[in-house]
Amino acid sequence: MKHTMRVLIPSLALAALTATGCFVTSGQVLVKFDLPNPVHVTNTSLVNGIYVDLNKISAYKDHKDNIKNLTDIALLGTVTNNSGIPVDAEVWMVDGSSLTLTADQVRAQGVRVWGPFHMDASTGTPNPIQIGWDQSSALFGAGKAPLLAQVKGDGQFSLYVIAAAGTYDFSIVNGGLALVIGAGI
Amino acid sequence: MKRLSICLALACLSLAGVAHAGGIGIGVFGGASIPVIQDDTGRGSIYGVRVPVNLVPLLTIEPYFASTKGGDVKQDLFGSSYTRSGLDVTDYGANLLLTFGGPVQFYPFAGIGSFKLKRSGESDISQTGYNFGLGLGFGLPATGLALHLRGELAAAVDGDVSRKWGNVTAGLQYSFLKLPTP
Repeated sequence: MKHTMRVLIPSLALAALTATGCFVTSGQVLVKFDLPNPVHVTNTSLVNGIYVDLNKISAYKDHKDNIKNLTDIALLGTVTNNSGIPVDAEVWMVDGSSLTLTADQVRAQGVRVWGPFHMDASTGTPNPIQIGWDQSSALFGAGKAPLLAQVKGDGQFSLYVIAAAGTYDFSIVNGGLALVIGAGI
Repeated sequence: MKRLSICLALACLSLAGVAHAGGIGIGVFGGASIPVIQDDTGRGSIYGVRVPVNLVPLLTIEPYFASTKGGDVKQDLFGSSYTRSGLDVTDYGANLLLTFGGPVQFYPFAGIGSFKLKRSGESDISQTGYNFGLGLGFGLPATGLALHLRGELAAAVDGDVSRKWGNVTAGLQYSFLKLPTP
């Protein structure tokens, strides 16, 4: 009886592990992608896509074949509204290589993955705002799913920074995309 | 090596003196919760309640409730320092303990539970979780009280991946109902 019991619990633990796949050998790994520095966005010029190739990042490359989910994501950096009009910044994603598009073309061809991030009107003196990780992560919402599809796919896509509407002029310095992937290790 | 020898000696002593006394108890516990390979949450604290029910020799079923407050994590990213709020976990379930010993108990255990993961500004996530580990219990004679020290690996599972924590806890348990030995 004692012997049976001694074997029982480890066996149950092993059975649980086996039944649920090899979930123990997994983790949540941070993948960082630097945006160009700075990113300057205005309504008067075309939008240059930011080409993202995650395959160049070792943390992604090391786990690419075992990515299961996207547990956390944030667009980070310091943003400054350079105009006297409030701005709602957004990031859109288009599959494939980066192009130079109008904001309307971006909206027609892509999917919004982040935003809107509201910035008050500039009062004349620069008022840079550091985007918080918690704050940014909450702005992904429905954009997480299409981004996960890209992350689990070829890891190559383009991001476009625009504003929701109207006249705008803002910039992002020291920006980047932080992805936390759930992957086998 | 010396510590391991002491642990093994304690385990042997407890196995040699198996003395069953069934019963029901209640205990509280607290300790440290350390994320395992999780870049987006930090070390935190855990506390909770356990209700051990020992009806047959060697086996104890233990419903439990636990709450973990995840610590914030700081990362240097893109030239600046950023803080991500810790992930809090509330879970309840039951453990199965294989208990050996009398006043000093040694027990491996495994459990299953429902885990709720919460973080500021995000929707709650509910997942099935598992835990397994080892415990040591030290009974205080004639009081019905026992001190329990445990180390466990807890995992909230989402398909083929999981979030894992190593929990180290100390608890105080009171046996309030003795049952006849079968």
